[in-house]
Amino acid sequence: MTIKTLHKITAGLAIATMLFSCVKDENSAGYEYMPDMYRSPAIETYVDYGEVRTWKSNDSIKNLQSAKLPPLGTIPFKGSEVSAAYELPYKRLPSGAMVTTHGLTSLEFSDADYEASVADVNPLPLTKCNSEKGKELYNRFCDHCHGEKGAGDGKVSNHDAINPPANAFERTDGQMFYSITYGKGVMGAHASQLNQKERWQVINYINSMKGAEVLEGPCGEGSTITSSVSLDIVAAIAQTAQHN
Amino acid sequence: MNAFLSKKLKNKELPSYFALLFLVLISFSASSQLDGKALFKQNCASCHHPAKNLTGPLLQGAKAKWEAAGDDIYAWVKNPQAQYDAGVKSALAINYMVGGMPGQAVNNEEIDAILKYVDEWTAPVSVAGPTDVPVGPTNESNNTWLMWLIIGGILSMLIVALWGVRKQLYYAVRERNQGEEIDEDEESVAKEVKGWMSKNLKLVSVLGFILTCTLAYYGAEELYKVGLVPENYNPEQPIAFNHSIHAGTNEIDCQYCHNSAAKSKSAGIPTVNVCMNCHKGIQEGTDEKGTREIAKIHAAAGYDVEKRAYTGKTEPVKWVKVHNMPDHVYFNHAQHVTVGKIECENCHGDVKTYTTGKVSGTETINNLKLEGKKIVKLTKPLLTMGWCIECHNTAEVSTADSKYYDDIHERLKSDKELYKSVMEDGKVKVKELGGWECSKCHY
Repeated sequence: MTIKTLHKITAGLAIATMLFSCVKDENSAGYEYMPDMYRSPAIETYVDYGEVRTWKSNDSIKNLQSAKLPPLGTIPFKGSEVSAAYELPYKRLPSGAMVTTHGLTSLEFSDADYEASVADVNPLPLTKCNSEKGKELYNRFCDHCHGEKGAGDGKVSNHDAINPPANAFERTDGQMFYSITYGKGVMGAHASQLNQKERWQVINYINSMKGAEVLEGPCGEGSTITSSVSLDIVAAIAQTAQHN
Repeated sequence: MNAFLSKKLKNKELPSYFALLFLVLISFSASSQLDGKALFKQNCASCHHPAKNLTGPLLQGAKAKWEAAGDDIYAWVKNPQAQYDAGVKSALAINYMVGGMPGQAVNNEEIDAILKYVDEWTAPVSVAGPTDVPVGPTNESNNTWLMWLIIGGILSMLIVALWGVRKQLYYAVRERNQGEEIDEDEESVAKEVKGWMSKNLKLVSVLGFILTCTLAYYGAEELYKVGLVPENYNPEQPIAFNHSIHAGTNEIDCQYCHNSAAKSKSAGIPTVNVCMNCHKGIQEGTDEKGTREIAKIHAAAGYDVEKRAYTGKTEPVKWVKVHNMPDHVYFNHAQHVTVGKIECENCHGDVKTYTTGKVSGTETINNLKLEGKKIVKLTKPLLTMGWCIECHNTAEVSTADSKYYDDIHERLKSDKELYKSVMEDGKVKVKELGGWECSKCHY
């Protein structure tokens, strides 16, 4: 074999390698034009903080971040004081068992609060607007298990493990609010998906399904929601935040 | 009355009375054969499973156990607390969960029917639904690509080798015929080619022109793709979440999981507590793979299936981000979903028919046929600026029932000329409300 042939074989191999490198990597999103414009130096959602820029990586914080809760004791403030009140912590405490059964963590627990929540009054009037908003939310967050009319015949309840009771909505507004917030039985807590105003709107829609009279009128911000939010808890959280 | 009855009874209608009595008897016996399944579903199933520990313990064999211990299971179902307080042995043996079971409003016959149904219950044989069909053309096409490349590589090497052999033979023949030693020079080949080219100058120039144009065209095409996420891009995710089972078969709304789409800039990847809202109960998938993937959720949430308890030891799931909005562009999901009422499918395709989420092209989206959903048809490639502004100049803004536009609507109506120019095509478009201003999206 002469050196020339060897050169040719090497060239052939080089071409083959180049062709192989053209194989599409299924996990690659393709080339980026000016990567520094894609990789934001500002922190964006779902970007690993350890890999903010392609050529810079901070290994000490790589893979450590998950979706985070807002800082303790803070509430989003928008709109009027009344609407901000809906962001205040819920007065009724979860029962102690919910730490193990529902993964809930809280500063305090009370086993009697489910019973006590019977007294909580829906601050939103049952107007057409509230009921319609509630319907939209019900169809998004409830009907795949509880069924269109609340009979417990949603698509998900075809599984043996999930069977919402047909009488789930025969509770008072306050207790339904408690169960949406903290979960009940096999149902998980939905507080992360629905804020307090939305929870009351869903309950409004449930009441309209049960045949309660729906008034004409705007959504409104509700009269007073002191029945379900606690200023004591706000103080307690503020204190804990100070300690930390 | 008596006279009336006796008169009637004497008549020929007597057999019909017997028939009526018979019917009544039948209906009585039918009502005593209670539907255990329905009763179980109605009274027990929200906490109990026949053969699995859920919120409440499994029920199979419960009756036999109580009867063997000589205790009254009927009294327990109707009022558990009383049995606890009385210190009944079987009741105290149930050490399941704090809180316990509330008393149930059922009678003895109904309890019998329920427990009979439970004891006879067998796990349904899982029927592979249409969603179980593995959708993996990407993997297959990848393999065929590799195969073709290997074949191509081997063939090209063969051609090079054969060409070399031919040349050696040619020289050998010439050497023997003419007795001269030939310098194995590359230049001779180059000279040959050059000679042929100068002879066929027209053909070469035409071919060269075509070749240059083709290369330029395809090169530009490829360059246009830089920065675009390719259609059907479907990277491997830490959990192989199947959209077709969740949003397709079970009809769970997109926004149940991606719930921040209505409120925030980002549509949101659900946190594991949202997964656990169902998967605390549903622990098995439709196949082995599904069960394995669900186990990953339990690991991430720190849920111990055996003990039915959260351990508190959680770990993050590192999802692979598909679309990466460049730093200089602002896009807000809430604006488009809540105010603009744009369907999810208009940008993401019919995700409920996919397994793991993948990127749809504009053509695929244009061809979607969705009942009751309006799709704005576009031509530019997905997530390019052309695509954004094309939609801003096509989609109609529905100003009705939205407070958001009240002010702008009033201003529009007060300026007659402007109103006329905007309503020329019969609809208000985003462009006409400033949707083409640079600073709307760039800042």
